Amino acid sequence: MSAASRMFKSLTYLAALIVFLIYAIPFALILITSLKDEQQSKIMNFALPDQLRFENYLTVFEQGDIWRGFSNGMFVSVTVTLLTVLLCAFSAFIIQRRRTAFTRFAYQFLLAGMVAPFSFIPAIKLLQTLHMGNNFSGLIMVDLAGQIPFTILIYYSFVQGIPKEMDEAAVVDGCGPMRMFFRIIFPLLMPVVSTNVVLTFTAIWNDFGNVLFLVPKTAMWTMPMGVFNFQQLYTYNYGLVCAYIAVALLPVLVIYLAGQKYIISGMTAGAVKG
Amino acid sequence: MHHAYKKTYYPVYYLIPILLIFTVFYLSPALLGLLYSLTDASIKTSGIRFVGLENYRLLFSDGGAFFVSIWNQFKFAILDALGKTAIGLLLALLLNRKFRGNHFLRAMIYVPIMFGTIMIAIIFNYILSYDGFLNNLLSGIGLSALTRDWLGSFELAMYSVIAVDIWVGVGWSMLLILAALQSVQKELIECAEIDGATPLARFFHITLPSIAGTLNLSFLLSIISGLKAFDIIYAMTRGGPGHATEVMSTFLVKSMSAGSIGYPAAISVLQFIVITTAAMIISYFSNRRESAS
Amino acid sequence: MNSAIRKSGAIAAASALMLALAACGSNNNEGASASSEATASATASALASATASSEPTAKPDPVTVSYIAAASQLNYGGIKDLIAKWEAQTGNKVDIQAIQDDQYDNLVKAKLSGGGDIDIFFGAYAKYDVPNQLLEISGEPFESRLNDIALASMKYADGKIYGFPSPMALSSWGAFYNKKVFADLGLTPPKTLDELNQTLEKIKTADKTPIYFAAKDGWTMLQHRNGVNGVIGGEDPTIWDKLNNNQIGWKDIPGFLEQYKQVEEWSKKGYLNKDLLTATYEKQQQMLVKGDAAIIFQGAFVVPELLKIDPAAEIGFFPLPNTDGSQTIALTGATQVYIAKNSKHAEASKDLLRFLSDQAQVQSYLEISPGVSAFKDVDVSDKMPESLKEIQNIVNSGKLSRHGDEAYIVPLPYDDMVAAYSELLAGKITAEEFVKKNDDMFRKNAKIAKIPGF
Repeated sequence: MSAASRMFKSLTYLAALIVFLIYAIPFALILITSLKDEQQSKIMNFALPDQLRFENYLTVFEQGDIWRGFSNGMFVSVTVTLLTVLLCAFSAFIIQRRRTAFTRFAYQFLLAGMVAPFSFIPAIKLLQTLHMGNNFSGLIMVDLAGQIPFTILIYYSFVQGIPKEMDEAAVVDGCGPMRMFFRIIFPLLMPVVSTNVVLTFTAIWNDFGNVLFLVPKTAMWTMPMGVFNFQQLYTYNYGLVCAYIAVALLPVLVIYLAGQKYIISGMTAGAVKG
Repeated sequence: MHHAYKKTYYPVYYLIPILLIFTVFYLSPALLGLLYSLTDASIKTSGIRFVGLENYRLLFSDGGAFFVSIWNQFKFAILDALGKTAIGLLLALLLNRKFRGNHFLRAMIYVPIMFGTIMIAIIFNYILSYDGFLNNLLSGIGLSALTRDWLGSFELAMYSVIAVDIWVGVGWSMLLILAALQSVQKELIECAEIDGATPLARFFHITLPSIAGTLNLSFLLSIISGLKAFDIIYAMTRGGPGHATEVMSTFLVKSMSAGSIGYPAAISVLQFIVITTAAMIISYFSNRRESAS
Repeated sequence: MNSAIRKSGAIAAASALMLALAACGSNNNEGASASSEATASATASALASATASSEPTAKPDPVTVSYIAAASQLNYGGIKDLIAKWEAQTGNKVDIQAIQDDQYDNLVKAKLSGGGDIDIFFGAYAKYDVPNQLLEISGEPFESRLNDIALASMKYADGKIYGFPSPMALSSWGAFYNKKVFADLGLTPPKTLDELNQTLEKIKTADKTPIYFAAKDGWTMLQHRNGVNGVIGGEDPTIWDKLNNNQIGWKDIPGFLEQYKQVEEWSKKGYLNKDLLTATYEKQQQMLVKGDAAIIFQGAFVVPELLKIDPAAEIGFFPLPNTDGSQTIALTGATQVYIAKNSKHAEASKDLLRFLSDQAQVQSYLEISPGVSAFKDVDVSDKMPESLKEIQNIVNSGKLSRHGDEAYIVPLPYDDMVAAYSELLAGKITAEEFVKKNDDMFRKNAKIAKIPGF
């Protein structure tokens, strides 16, 4: 290896290290601060606390209603994600394959949701009228409807890349439309499904506005509302707040690590095509 | 393909559920919201009266505060998009090289997108506060001259929020550009290498032209998302100090103080028009570019 | 295969999906409420057996009442314990929803006008469509127990009462100062603007921050405004009526401009803390208690917080100085707690609020968070720290004015006010510009709110 290329290599590592630090420091700060007591947590730095206060995490679990936020968040996120995948994948398939004036209109119509500003007061009224304001069904349907535009877009562009001959082969085998889709096409959509799952799940998990306005009681609050509430309650105890944040970030991290391969490949594939 | 075949195997009525759900739970509240802008609907009175463009007249009556928020929104969107694309390109170039920990770093840069804005805002409010981590770090390494009230300064607050938004979102641009870099044909570069082109010349003459379309795409999509940006700004500065980081949606949220429903609705209609117009212009240019290439 | 069958199949599938969702939602909800009711009745029966009250008469089924409060309010007076006491007594449950202060108004308004589920909440009559959105409460025993100012403030324009008084102390505003800092520098509380300026200069020379503002959350900064309103309301008691009728604007009040000229000077002369735009309420308290800062402008509710930091802190109070030293302070009416007119648990909600405004609960609340009481049968003067006693003395002497936000009918353009204040404190605009902005923003809000005469 030449001297020049060796230097180039060290420069690469140096740059990588700097980038690593820029991304690692905020999270490291959260972790370290989460183990400090109220007094020491006031100064956020890398000085290790005199005593590691794991009690902070205990307090979070005792005071923060964190399990409730967790299970509500899981229930809503999983349901919305499942419905989004099934509904959008199949609909995008029909829209892409059947090119009529109506499907073209339907496509544009659904995409309009990407810019149309959502309005909470009519939404609350609507859910009240439909008797969906007092349970998760209202929140789930509004969340689902909000996911449709972008999701349709990514499935549509992916389906374009699947040759029609695949469909025809299925027809020859005697499949109906549903079976054709779920047996033959859906498995081919897996990369974009994974992308969709991760994006939708995290969007719903992190959602704040819909939960704040559409949910009538604290028993139905999800994690981000909990964080906010907790932060208000313990404004000056950074240690506790950081412990709560660390716990709240964990599920997202797990999902991300599990689906990371697909997110990255699916996202770039979709974006480069689209 | 045969018409009857299409009708049988791609039945249009399967679209009923999605259209129904979308119309009922998204579009109708949105449209109702827009209709409110022509009324005097208010949370203080039960009656509702058609008032024509009164709400719009009021909106334009006060020395252009709304225009300031539009201007800020564009400033945010453009700087944010430039930053994300330029830094995304640098990161992609770095990660396109082979080194240990490459995939880990890639994952790490992308991960903040997964976290909620609220969490990010709380973390960075701690880091950027006057006696926060950043200022402590600067004083600690003898640069106390550089300490600032990052979110409290009228001049800096906007850039601080943009910087945080870039930190959060640059992973997306990076991945997009990285994918484009990896599809640049190796032979082209090798040929150039044999011809004795310097690395810099290779980058400007071969790599850059072949990824220009992607850079453009990353820039334009980032602009659109920047025009809709709200959460991060609201959670970090609430549009302040003063109106230094006031954008359209923070302006909208704040307009609700008088209890009117019609007036904020008028703001959201105009916001809708501004964003849609910008998005249409942008997609016109990107389509033209695409069909040219 | 017949396409009509297929078509109906798809529609059936679609409706099945919707139904399943609605069902799963409501199941879930039933599950949740069933379990909370179960715990509620368990508590109730435990209580019943504990008190051995052998009363088998059918009590109404336990219900869950929602209690939506601004997060900051829940830290005072042991209110959560008082609510828990009511839960234990009645077997009902209270779902306390702590909402971020800044989101509070928008959330309550959206829920009220969207017809969402909401029982108990806070606010001011000016914010709501009172007869249609709030439950009428006239004829409750508290009416005879309230002092005159508090009772008057509970009455709506139609003479009826639509809310309960909260046990919270009546508030007033002004300057809280560190007595030790003042004593060390040989200073006494200033009465006139000239005296104030000399005082501030001396504090600055002694290398302390004369005035500490906290604007991370806008409301803490705006407490100064409440003090200003107290002064101008005393200089001309008819001022609120004139403003309400649009006879005069803010520009036409000389004392108002005078006060903000001071603020402009403070900013120019460096009397204010440098980090004021991002400083938090907590930091403001700490700086005052430690003596790094000499003066803060706050409401009386800050006093218990200061003593929490250091029970031995020596804190004094003086009203905002004015030109001739005729300082008055504003005193609020009772804080009002409302029940939504369409509340499904109106009786239980009333019962809770009645319980909280009973003598015993008010006493207990005010002993924890002392202050000027709204109730004639509760007086915690002996429990008050020095600064609150000073306020009580001013109240007793009658140098009072009406609280601006209660007397003025134009809704406060909160965020515009926060922005204008930040600009003034940061030296971005002059006092004249501030007063003009103030005038403009209220006029505009009056128009949006369709107030007659604007």
